[in-house]
Amino acid sequence: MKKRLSIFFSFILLVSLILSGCSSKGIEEEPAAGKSETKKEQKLTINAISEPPSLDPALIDNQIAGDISNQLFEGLVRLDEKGNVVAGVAESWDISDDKTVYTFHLNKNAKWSNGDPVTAEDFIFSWERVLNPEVAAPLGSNLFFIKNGAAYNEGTVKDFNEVGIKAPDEQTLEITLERPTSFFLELTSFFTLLPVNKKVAEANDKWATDAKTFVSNGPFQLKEWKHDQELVMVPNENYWAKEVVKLDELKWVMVNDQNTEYGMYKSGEIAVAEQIPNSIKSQLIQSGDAEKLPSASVAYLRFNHENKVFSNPKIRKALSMALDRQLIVDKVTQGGETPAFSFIPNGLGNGVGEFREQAGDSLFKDKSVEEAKQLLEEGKDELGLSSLPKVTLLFYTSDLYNQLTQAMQEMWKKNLGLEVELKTMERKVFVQNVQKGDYELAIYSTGADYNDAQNLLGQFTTGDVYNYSKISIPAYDELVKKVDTELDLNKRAEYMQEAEKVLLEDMAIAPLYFNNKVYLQQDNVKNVHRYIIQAVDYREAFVE
Amino acid sequence: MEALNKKTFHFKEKNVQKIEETNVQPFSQFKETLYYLTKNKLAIVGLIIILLLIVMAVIGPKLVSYSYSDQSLLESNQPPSIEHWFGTDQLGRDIFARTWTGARISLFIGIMAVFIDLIVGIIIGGIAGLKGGKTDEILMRLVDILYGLPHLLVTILLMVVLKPGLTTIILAMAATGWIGIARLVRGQILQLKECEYVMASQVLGAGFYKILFKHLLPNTLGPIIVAMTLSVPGAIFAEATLSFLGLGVPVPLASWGTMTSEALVTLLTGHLWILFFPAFFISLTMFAFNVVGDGLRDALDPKMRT
Amino acid sequence: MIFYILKRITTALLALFVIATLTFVLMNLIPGDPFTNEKSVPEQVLKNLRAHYGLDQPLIIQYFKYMAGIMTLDFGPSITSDTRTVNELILSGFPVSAVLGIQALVIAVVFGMTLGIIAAIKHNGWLDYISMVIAILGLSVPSFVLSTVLINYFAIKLEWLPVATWGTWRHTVLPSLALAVGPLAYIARLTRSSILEVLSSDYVQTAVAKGVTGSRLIFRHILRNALIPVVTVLGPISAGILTGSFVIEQIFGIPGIGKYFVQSISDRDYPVILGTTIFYSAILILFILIIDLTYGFLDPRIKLARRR
Repeated sequence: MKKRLSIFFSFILLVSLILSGCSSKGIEEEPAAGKSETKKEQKLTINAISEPPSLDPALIDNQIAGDISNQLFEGLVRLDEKGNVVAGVAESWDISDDKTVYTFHLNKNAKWSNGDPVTAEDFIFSWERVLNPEVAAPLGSNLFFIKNGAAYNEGTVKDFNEVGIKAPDEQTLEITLERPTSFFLELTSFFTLLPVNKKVAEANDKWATDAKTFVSNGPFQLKEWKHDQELVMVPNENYWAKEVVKLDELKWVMVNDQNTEYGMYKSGEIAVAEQIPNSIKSQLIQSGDAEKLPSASVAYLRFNHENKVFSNPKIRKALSMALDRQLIVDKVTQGGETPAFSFIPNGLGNGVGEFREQAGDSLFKDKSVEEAKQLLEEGKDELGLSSLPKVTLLFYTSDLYNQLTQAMQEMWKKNLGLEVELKTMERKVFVQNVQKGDYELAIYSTGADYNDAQNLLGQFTTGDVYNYSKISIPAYDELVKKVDTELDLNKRAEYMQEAEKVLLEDMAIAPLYFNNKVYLQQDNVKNVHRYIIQAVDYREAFVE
Repeated sequence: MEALNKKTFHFKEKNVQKIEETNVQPFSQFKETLYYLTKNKLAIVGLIIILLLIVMAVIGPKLVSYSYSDQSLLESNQPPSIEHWFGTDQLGRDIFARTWTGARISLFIGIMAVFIDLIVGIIIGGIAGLKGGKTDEILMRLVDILYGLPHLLVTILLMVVLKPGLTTIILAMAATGWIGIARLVRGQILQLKECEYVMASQVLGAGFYKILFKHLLPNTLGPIIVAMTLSVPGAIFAEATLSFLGLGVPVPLASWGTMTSEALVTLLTGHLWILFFPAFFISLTMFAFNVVGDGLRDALDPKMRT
Repeated sequence: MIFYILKRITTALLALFVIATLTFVLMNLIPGDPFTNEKSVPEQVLKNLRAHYGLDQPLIIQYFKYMAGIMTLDFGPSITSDTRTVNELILSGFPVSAVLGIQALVIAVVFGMTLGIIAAIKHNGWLDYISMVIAILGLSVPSFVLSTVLINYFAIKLEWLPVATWGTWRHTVLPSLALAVGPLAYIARLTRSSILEVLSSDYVQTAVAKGVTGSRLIFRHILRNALIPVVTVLGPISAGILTGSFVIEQIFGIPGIGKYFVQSISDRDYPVILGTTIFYSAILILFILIIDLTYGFLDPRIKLARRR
């Protein structure tokens, strides 16, 4: 018995040693490739942060998958380094006089990575899937500008022929819109509107889940996809402009942790770091190591207008005025944010230019303690209250918001003598509470889906389903309606400016800061283009 | 013959009682344990550390004029100085005040979670062990099933389902924590039930409650105390892990766990003191409770006294 | 014996069933669903999405569907990931977690037992104190702090090893170490106390009296018996390690299954929550069963059927 016992133990030990030995040996073979990597080789490794949930354009719903698919696919148009619209798969396009019909002429040299030509049918196939209710595309609303697009998605129009997407011939795509949409052309470069190879997709509906079956039409093609680990791209030999592609390999790793990512950047394992820990961002921006770009997103304080206290404009103004946004940005959030004294984030367009450039930066002021105190008193009088009831500020748990709300709480206490209770929740629980209107004050942040100020304005009109603040300003509603229907782009821009002013006049919401994208990029990496909505383009990137 | 008989009977009776009293007097066992514990230097150090930590948790926040939440954004990230003994954090808060307020919360979580574990565990384990039979079978199946659940997962699920707060954290941790104690208590009672002296006292006609309170409970107490000493740091640790996952004590409260996980980044920025103090005191607490627990276990176990 | 094993397996299946039901109830109690988002998604799109994943059906029907799936070992599609099913997630993540876990386990067992043996042999000597202080220190530092410190020192400062991600054996060193430290300390302490217990037992005293000494005494008489409690705890420890510590996997960017435990909950990815929980529980129960069986095999005094 005792002998058997010792044999048994040696066996267990041996097995575990062999197992661990095997496994480490098994993966030992690979590092050679990594080691031989020298500076001159045109190879880039970047962090995708996490596994893309899908690379099938219709099913993509997050920025990570969007960034990756933008390298693999090419839409009708693309953006140049300045963000101007240039030829993509479409080499030219005509727009009808009433600005509702777009005719795209496709480039005959545009090819899929398997050699098939890119045809108008491929776009129709892909866009039909985006709108098809059974596919349940998460960003389907990006095609609602097309005639009957929304109706087809709702199921009220069953025949796809009634939707404004047509192909007169293989190389021509004709799009009819519901109404003139100034940003539609640029929108065709967005990842939801990328084409899919119809033949491949019809033959194998799982084509987009594996590198072997993946077919794309962009500058790069997928060579390897180890789920949750890495994704390797190589240039697409059939790409019509393959001579501008300089990289030999573009590798995406998936590291979620901020601190780890920064560590990898510092040790040179990745070329770009895009989610830098907040507390070092300002340091890096100051030293010039990190770059900063507007990201079309704004953080703001939501008031519940159905709450008696916050239905009073003076109290809302008092709360907004008592904050010191510059100090918050410099010392608390520290992410290179821009203090917001207006609502539409900088960088966002208005159809004729950049919205903020035309509308100016400061629509209101803060840090005026005396005025804020007075407004608070007046507000209390109007409501017939001797003192304010204790109010609660709701936010979702994150390091950033934890710090931000604590700083805001302190400012209100010090400047207004106002006690605000903090209440934190897990993200989705928070969203649900806000959507149900179950809050008094909430920290919210919102970003634009396409490059036009309009898409941030609709959510504050009376009765809008996304109007979780229950705001109701008739003058504002009217202006937003005018924006929707106005054909003259200059006039439309003016209405949008006017609408923003009306919204902030009574502090229906209190903007806090505009988010900026802060990123690190190794010095020898050149020609990476970044855009406000269409995040990043590695087509022409190279290593020096 | 009759007289002799009576005398013998009398003598024996007395003797039995004497033996019983000297052998299983809970107090003498306590004294004995204490004696062996004091011989273990590491355990004594641990005990002193725990006492000091508790004292500091009580008086620490009052030693400085700052409160744990007072911010001074213009004095953020200051290294330790005479003004701020442990320095200030990102929002310019005094880390000394925060560390000892955090100590209150962390220790409170640890002690409360274990306290609840203990009550539930003793009740369930005790019933199973004493009643035996079907009751035991059913209760132990239940315990087995719960034992198979991933604990941290249950904790996280509960944290998300319930409203965030100190109570939730404690409840979420207690939800799975009692299982270990219940198994322990049951096992101990089953073992003791078979012991000669318990059987003897049963034979001698001692009642159920006398056996329970005089024999079973005092003798299970040792292992329970050991398990407790080792669970307190476990709970503090679990809270720290939850903090890392963003499910710790909600702001503006701060535990050592939330302070540590928020300060991880200072390894990159160089403001190391913000990380050092909370991390150091978590580790110190873990260390102290563990050596005391080990010491207690050794002291309670006659075989370890060599 | 066979009857006993059958009984245990039945119990295990029953346990898994209860666990699945419990998890199903709990996860549906969490507010929000996979598509709750700050972004304004049109009502119509949300409706399509919910219908697509069958979330528009009554809970009881969803429950039976999940259960039917589980019977055939099919955990369904992941809601978050359109590219893989839950089965595929587990199949691709588990081997990674397992490699990491086995390495950590080997480190923990080898070094833990060595420390424990040294401590026990030199009981109450300075080596005992040092070993135990080392072991307890290992238990005292939160793994997320330890991991970050390891990365900072060995990967960033010294550049000996890569910071994160997966691929070569060099990538496995730091996470294995970070994962091993806790169990190592635990094993060390357990080994020490169980050896001390064996040392004072009658048969060892007898063996010593009979003149058995040196390695023969240690290996033949002491270690073998002292190991029994260590083997007992290996079950739960290995299950825990093998399924990965999500903290470690998160920090080191490792494609194991550990991270799904947390991520699936915050994504409300119901099939993944259920799949990973059941998988983890199954592994845990299996390990406990195996250990119980070996335990009875190792120590003839323990009769399986009568244990507990």
